[in-house]
Amino acid sequence: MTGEGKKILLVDDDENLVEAMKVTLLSQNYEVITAFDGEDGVKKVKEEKPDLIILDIMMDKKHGYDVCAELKRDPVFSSIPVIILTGVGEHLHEKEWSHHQGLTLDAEDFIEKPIKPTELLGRIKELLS
Amino acid sequence: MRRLRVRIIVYVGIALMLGLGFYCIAGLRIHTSQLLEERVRIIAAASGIIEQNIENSMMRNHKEDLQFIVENMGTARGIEEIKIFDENGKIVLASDPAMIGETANVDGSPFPKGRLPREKEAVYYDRLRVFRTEDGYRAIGMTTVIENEKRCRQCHDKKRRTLGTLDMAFNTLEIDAKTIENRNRAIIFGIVTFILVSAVISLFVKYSVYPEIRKITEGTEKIHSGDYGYSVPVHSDDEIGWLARSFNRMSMRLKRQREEQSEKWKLEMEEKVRNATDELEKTNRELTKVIHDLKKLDAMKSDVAMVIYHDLRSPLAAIQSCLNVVLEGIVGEVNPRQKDMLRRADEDIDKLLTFITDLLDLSQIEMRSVVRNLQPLQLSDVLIRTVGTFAARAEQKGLTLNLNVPSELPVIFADKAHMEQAFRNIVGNAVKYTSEGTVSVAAQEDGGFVKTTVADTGIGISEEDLPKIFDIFYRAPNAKAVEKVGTGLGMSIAKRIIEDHWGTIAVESVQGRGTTFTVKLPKAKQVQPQRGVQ
Repeated sequence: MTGEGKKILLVDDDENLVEAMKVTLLSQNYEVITAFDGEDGVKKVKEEKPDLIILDIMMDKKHGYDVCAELKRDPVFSSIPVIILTGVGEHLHEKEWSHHQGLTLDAEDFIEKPIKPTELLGRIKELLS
Repeated sequence: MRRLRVRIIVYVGIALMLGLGFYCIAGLRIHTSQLLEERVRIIAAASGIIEQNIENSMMRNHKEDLQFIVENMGTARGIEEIKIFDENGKIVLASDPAMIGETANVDGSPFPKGRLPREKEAVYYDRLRVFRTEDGYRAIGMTTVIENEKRCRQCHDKKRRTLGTLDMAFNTLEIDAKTIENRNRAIIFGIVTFILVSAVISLFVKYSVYPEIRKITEGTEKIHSGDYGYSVPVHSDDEIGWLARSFNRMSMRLKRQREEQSEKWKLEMEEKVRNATDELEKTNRELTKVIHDLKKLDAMKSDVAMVIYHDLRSPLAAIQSCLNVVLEGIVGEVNPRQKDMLRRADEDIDKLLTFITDLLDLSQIEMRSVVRNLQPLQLSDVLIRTVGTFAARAEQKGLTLNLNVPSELPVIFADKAHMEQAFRNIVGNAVKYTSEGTVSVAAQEDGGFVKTTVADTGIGISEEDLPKIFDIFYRAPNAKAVEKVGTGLGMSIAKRIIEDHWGTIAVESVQGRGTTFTVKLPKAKQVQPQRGVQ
């Protein structure tokens, strides 16, 4: 199957959303690890060394941008592709926010919420190929 | 100065005329009376001789002699007429023969008609009367009664005591002519004197008084123009000199007062400036604090809005994601009826999401109209980006999306995020309410403005809905029919943003044919750069 042997980390504080993504990924036989806040996410990356990370922005404990920035600074993990999850139109506000913070985001892709399974799988496949 | 000269000349002239006139009149009078007295003396002598002759002739009754005397003497120079009356007052002999036979006054007075003495006539030697005739001539008259002397009466007419009355009148034409001549001389003398004196006074005023007065006038002007303490160089010891000294004292006094006043004013002004500065600083501090608070509040509101946004949207996004997972059959087959129900749920979540987004936009706009980040902005960048975000959607609907925007437009002064939002709403609406045809976005310079038009071939707006489309929460019935999801906030937000940037938005539409929005924003030069609180 498509996802054989690929490990994907889902980081989002909404368990139901994580579950929806997890179900979708599992249907394609990806190996799925989950984390429910930013700090946990970083920890899981370091422990599990996933092949791809799907990262939410607005999270408790650690903001998605910070997680992304931290990983991209680390030469060990900087090669892991990151897909940022944003709300509809939210990316504009987020960009504005990042602009204010003086951050640039080096994520590989963006996906708008709500999750559309076909789209999600397509993007992942593209990044992992 | 001319006026002063004229005035002096007039006054002096009047005085001179009065004096001269008085002098001349008095002189003339004295001269005339001297002439008259001289004349009277001559007349007295002459009249005595004539009287003697007439008396002799009358006493001897030599009528031829008498007539000869009267006729010849009567035409003599200086003698006006000679008349002889009888006892009854009847003229028996006269130098003018026409008068013979006329009668004298009724009361028997010896004075003939027209020779009545006046009250103020002068009488000389008891016989000569100087008087004026009724015609106004001066004349000297002599009337005497000729008596038959005792010794004569012995041999002549013995009964008659009175032989008759002799009346003689002498004129004074020579004196009058001399008087007139003297008067004319006096007048000419007066006029010449007046002209000479006037000229002298005029020159005196011009070269003596005028320069000094002019110096004082100049001094007054200097003081008027602020040169306090100016001293007039006039030192003459007369009224003008006194005026100049008085002027100089006043000038010095003014200078001193002015200096004292200036010092006082300076102190007062310094005090005032200090107070105003203090007040300004205080206000400034307060304002700074207000701005700070406002910014803090704005940031807080922004954060609060972000949290609400996130917390409302996140569960909805999760619900939709789950629905999508089910709908796409990830977790097993779904039958058509189940699918239909799930789609309905999904649709309403969409409505909720749109509504939340628009509400948040509105609150953001209201906040940002207080705190804006205005900067020089290239509108073409905004338009290209905004239109780009609708490319996929337009393609999906089979619409042609035209973008006719030059890469360089005149720079406007605006908040970038606001502009993006306004055009997102306008172009978004055009795409949303057009099912086939084109959506065209074009921009160009238009006078002092950058004009952007967004034209579509969509459902259009009816004439009655057109005025309301910028109203908050308003949605046209035909729009609702096409698109269930919508809050009626998009266009009011767009309008507010455009107007906050000193721009205008206008709409033209034909129902069923399409709609065109025209946005005009002023070029950067035309608005004052403003930042922060407004």
